[in-house]
Amino acid sequence: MTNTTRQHPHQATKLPLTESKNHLEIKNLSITYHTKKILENISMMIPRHSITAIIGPSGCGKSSFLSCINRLIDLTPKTQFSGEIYFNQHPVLNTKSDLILLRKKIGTIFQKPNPFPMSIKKNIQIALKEHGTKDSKELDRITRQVLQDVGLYDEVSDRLNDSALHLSGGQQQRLCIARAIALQPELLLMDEPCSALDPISINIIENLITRLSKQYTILIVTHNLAQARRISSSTAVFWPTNGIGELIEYGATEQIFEQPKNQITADYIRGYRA
Amino acid sequence: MMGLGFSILSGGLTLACMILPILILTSEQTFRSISKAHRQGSEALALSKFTTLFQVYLPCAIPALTAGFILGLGRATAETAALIFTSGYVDRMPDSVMDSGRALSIHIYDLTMNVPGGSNNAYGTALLMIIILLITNSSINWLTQRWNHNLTAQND
Repeated sequence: MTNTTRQHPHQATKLPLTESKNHLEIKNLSITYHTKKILENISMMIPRHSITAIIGPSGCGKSSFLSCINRLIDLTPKTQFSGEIYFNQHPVLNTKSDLILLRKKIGTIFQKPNPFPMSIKKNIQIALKEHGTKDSKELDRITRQVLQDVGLYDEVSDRLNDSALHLSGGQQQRLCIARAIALQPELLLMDEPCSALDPISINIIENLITRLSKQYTILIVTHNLAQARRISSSTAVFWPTNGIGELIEYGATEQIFEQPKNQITADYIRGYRA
Repeated sequence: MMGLGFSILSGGLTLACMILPILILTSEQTFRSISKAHRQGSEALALSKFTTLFQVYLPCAIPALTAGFILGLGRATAETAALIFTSGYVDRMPDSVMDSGRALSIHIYDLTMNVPGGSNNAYGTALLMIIILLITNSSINWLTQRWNHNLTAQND
């Protein structure tokens, strides 16, 4: 496991927390939907400013796993979870945890780009306004900044007031990333962010993700093994055993792809199993 | 019953009750059909329910809500029988909403059924009604298109 201790004094969080060596700690997480168990006993330690790829076949609970971290799983009725998740050493799976703060600190990018049906500018500013940024100059400055960060500014600077739905799929996805990072999160969860995009857009987004990892901790679910290998520093392999998702191997990406310890992993990355 | 007697107000309330199912049905369908992606996106950004409803859902829903509204409007304008017994059908200028008065549809009915040689005036009234409906429908249509002119395209 890559539990490297890295200190980033500039990454001072507003939360009253001590800097932990792991940004996100998941301990013995299990998820049950209705009566069916979908994930069992997942434990992962995710260091700051790393890209962790989560790979595995469909239906092994990867997306449910992500939605536990930002508690979007609360939207799915009849789901129960056990175990613990600590984000900045704060318990996440606690009924008392502050969901608004949690979701501000954890940005989420979905599989299908989902910009709101409003202008590009408003897409970014809606959440900023909601969370207390009122000054219009400041709003415009942040909008410009995040659009530059995702490399979209030059493409859309002359039509910020046009509908976001007029953008191409790749541009929409970058807008969604910009929208997420405008809230200055620390962790970005990406649920197959490239699966609905064309190869050129995928390339742009991958470069963007690599750049973003200097500032954010990134957790990315992907079906694209080559992509996991290209961009991630560590990889987690989820596998459904008797329909229940388990973490069968977790380690440095290089090791997982060059010398997998688990036979299923070895077969999966060579394409023998799907 | 509620002490309203024959009045335009009671007629209006009756029509409101009659078109309510249409409005409820279309509104419910509309809000249900709004993509789950918007809800997730909004939750992920920790937007409040208020902001989500008014700034995310409503812009998506406006075209369908307007369609429901126009359907209801058409239904209400065409209504005759219910109005005879609620707003009455005196043909003088009403003083207030509490006064009795006659709707255009009742006017047409009265002219054709009870007034000898009233057909021409009835046709005239019908034409007026069609023009009013055309104007309201097209102006509502124009308004929604203006609100949504940059939002509807590529909205899959």
